[in-house]
Amino acid sequence: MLKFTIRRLLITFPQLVILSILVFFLGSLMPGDALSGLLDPNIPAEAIQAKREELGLDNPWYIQYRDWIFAMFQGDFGTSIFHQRPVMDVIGDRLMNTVWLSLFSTILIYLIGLPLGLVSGRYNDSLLDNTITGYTYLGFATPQFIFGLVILWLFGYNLGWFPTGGSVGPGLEPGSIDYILSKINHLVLPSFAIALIGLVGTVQYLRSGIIETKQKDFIILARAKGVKESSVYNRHIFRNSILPIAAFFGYEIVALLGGSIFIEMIYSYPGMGRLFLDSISTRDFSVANVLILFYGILAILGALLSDIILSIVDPRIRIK
Amino acid sequence: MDNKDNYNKNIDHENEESRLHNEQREERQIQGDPFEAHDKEAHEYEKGDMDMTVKADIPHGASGHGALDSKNLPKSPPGWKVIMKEVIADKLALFSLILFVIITAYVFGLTMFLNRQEIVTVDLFAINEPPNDMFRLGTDYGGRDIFGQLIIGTRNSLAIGMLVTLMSVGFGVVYGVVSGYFAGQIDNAMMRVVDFFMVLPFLMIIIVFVTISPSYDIFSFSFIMAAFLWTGTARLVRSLAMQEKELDYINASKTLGSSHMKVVFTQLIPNLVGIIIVNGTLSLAANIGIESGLSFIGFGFPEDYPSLGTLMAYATNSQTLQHRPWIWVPAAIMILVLMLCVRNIGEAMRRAGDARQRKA
Repeated sequence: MLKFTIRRLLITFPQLVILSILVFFLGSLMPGDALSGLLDPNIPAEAIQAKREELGLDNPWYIQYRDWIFAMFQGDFGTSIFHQRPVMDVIGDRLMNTVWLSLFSTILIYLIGLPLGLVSGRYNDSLLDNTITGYTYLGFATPQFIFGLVILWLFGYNLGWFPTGGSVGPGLEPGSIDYILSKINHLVLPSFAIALIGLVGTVQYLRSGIIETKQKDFIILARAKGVKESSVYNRHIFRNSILPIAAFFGYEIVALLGGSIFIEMIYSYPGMGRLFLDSISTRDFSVANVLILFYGILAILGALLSDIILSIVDPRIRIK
Repeated sequence: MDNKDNYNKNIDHENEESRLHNEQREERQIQGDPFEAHDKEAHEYEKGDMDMTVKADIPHGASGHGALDSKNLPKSPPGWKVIMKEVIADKLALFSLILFVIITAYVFGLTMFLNRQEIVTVDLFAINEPPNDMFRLGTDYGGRDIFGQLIIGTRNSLAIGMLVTLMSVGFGVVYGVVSGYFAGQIDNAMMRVVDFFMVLPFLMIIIVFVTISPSYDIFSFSFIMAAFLWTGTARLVRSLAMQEKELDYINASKTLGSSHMKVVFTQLIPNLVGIIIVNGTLSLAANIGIESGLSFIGFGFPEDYPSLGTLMAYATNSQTLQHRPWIWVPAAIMILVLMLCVRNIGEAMRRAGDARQRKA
């Protein structure tokens, strides 16, 4: 177990290094640098040159890369040209919104997806199962942004049940009950839009897992011993079928964070995905760059988490 | 830093190793007279009286049952025939196939007669008109005909979906087969690259590339997309190639002295074609979705080269979303229909590859 984890961690480290190099080069391909947003056209060229040398912008790439990495370890992620504030502050404003959105969607996915998969696998080929399977089939083929638009059109505009944009109502005191309720109210539509499409994978995995498990000998034994039918399903079969879903937990979270770009745009939800799109269109590349690095690190850690969970629940992996 | 150097050294080391390996192999081929002789013999055997040898080996009487008579052996049908049979047997897949062919033929045929320039030209006297006699599906905020945009958009989305699929699956297949066939250290190194690509936030990186790319056209857009979408195919093909290369015909071919190139390209890949087609079909559906998504958030096709995603993008305007459904609903339905069709066909093909699940 420990050996596997250490070996897996050793793979993670070069991945992080290569990711950071990639993001660094992506950053140097983007027009503009730390200075260009601050410049006054009246400053003489020599002064600019002197400042460039002082900031180390003319150094060879590996020195710049080293400085960049060191600066980040000290918490300096650069300055946003558009906002004229440190990048970390700009991202910090949006971070919690995306975390809330992802948290809500994750809870909804498992809250709705697990019972659906359980029912669908238990009564397979019944009318109920066919309905659920039909839904997952449609869900697989529906791009998230179309589904998000339809949900917004139906519940946001036509029925008017939920707000159509933003993350909180105007003029509310942060921390008050109204403020929290308003936040939750704003989260309902986007998180359902993410979850109802995101859960199809979970439902399908669980369904096929249950159908496979229920033919196994230990289930027949459990029945022969007189275990209650509900308990056979909810304990014996469910526990054994949930392994792959538990193992994909890390990937799932990462997919949610990445996929929220579309939903955050449709619902004009002030999260990190929307910040990324905004910073690209305002050519504020220092923010975009840090966001890519951030999402990349998150994905690497998500994959690590998934593999470690998988090795805990499925010992066969460790031997490899 | 230290660790990074180590890692690089490792890679170098691996390269060194594979180079040495290749050199040894070449040496063997140069000295390989015995192999050559063996080769000739084998070919003669192949060309010669196969039937006679076989018959001579089996006891009298046995041949009468036709058990080992090579001519009487039931021939297994070629892969694509099995696939077609399965698609035809599955009514839903057959319907999808027909619908898909009709849509494709219709949009590709009709775009030859449509004037893109005329359609995307702004007409200020016909802004946001609902469907009427002149504009079958109405117009957008620039007075541009939605029907024409829908047809051109469908064509563009399909074309780019196919182009991306061709590029990504093509590269993925070669990468996967090479990795699976050579196995060992080469495979290890190649798979680490795949692992790395799989954790990249590819959507964001594509967006950045699209923004900073100096020459931006259909080809470079597809290339950028394909550069991040080949990993799934590579992984799948690699695992299949690993199983396939253990089979006797590959070993036989290697014993006869076939080069690695020959084994990989004329023997391994043709035998994986069924799976590759299935994989390509399913990725086509995904790629159409990704392209329309990118165009939707404004990093795909520009408005004067409409795709289905650009039409959907009009719906980000709340007035359009609420009051002008004729602009975005047809595109949404078209995307759904295309993706469902392609998926249905792909799923039926996938079942054809698994004898237990076949319906036909």
